[in-house]
Amino acid sequence: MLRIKNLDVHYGKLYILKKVSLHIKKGELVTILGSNGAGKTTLLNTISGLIKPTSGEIVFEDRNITGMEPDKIVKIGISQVPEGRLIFKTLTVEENLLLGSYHRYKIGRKKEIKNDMETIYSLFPKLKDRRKQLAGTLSGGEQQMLAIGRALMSKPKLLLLDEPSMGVAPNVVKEIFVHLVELLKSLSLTMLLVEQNAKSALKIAHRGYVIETGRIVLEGSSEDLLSNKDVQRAYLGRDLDAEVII
Amino acid sequence: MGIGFNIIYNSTSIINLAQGEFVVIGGLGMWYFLEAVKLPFPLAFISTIVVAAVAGLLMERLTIRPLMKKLDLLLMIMVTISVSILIRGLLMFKFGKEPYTYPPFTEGEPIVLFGAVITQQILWVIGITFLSIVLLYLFFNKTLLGRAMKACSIDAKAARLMGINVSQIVMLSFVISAVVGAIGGIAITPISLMEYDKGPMLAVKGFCAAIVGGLGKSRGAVFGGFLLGIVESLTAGYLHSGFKDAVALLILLFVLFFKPAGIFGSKEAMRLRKL
Ligand SMILES: Nc1ncnc2c1ncn2[C@@H]1O[C@H](COP(=O)(O)OP(=O)(O)OP(=O)(O)O)[C@@H](O)[C@H]1O
Ligand SMILES: [Mg+2]
Repeated sequence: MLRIKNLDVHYGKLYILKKVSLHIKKGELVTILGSNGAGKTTLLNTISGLIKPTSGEIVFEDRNITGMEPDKIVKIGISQVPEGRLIFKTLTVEENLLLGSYHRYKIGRKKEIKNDMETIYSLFPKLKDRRKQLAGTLSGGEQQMLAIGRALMSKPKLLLLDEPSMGVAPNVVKEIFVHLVELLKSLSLTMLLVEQNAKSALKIAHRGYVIETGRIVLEGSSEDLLSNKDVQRAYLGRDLDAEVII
Repeated sequence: MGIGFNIIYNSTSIINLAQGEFVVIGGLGMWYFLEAVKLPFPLAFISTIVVAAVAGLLMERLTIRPLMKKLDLLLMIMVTISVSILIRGLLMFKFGKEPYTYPPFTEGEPIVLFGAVITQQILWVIGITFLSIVLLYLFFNKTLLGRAMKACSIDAKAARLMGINVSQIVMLSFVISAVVGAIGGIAITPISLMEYDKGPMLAVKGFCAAIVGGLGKSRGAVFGGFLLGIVESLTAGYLHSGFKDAVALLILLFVLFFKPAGIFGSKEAMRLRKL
């Protein structure tokens, strides 16, 4: 579904992503592991079109989307839950969700969008109780759910998630990960999950890539990565979170 | 005037210090089309609005847009000052330094209310102001486009990830605020005359009204405007008319000191904005 080939990204003169190649098949949950500053966020932002690569190719469903503008990329079905959530704090929960559907909002579509919003509320009932509340007053976990709900409102085929566990209490992280697995099945989504929480991420993912200072250094099925000595030493040893029960 | 600030602030967090010039463009443009070109009122009105909209558009495309990437708010605010100087220069070149005016929208006897004389033009100004607030309120709070504008100012990156074309939205906000400013100028010129360099004074007062009422809140801006107007005329009446313009600045400082969120601004929204 998504294929990235030899992607190079620079910030000015800084060489950040170095010949990154990866692929995701339809219906897969793929995780990208890597420590701080490895280039995970940069990779997702390049896929979303916020950053233009210097060379390489991004192909989505047989379509070359390299260098496309972010609004086009949302339109063709790639949506991102950004690092730090970036919800619109001074707008209400409902307005946040509505903005998620911005690109497909047309007169006559109101009802359809209302229905989708109800779907999101049934996935995250906590959001429904707080629909009129300003989004900034939600707890960290609720904000993360809102960010996911908002991204889903664009009806993506591929969902990019940047560290959804960041700033969220451990038991809520579990809840969110359970939701992700549910979404994968119920909405037949495909997901690319960036995480530092390696153990939890590998528990729910099918496959994984390990990125170090802008280079993919390892790839494999989740089982292989979980049992890999290097991964264990580098990422699993300090993974503090309890196991995710699926 | 205060409302105009709010539109751009709402969608970009930029404070446009050339907002006063849009008001002047409204007044002088209307004079030009009405008195010099001798167009009928509705046509002159529309032409003026078009000119103001184009001015807003050009300003955004030529000055704000190239700077948008740098994301330096202070720099952009300074650029709005230079644009205001430029517009003033152009206006002086075209219209000279003398003040202009034209007849009120409607002829007729002033109305006497509680002993105060109210001309029909003042009623027009009040009516147009309230209409603008209602329309803008509906726009920002009930339409998706309006909310998208707010979203851009809260977090431009997140807005882009929603598929919102931020650069179009910013352009739109400049056009709308230019139009709102010009309409204000068209309405007040028969009362208070208009000359090429009235912009900065109007800007200070409008800004003050916007701050007093709470930045980003149109209702607040209008309340702030009225409060300012009343205090100003009281000062002129009881103290000295020379102090009149200083009052706006004093109030501004006072409010910034004691109630930075403005009288209508919710503390909560202010706090969340900073987080
Ligand atoms: N706007 C920027 N300008 C210059 N360098 C940047 C910029 N953003 C990120 N970088 C650099 O790019 C590298 C990769 O950053 P990135 O945010 O992609 O890492 P990350 O893997 O997401 O890290 P984290 O786990 O902390 O989120 C880092 O060395 C960072 O300092
Ligand atoms: Mg990151």
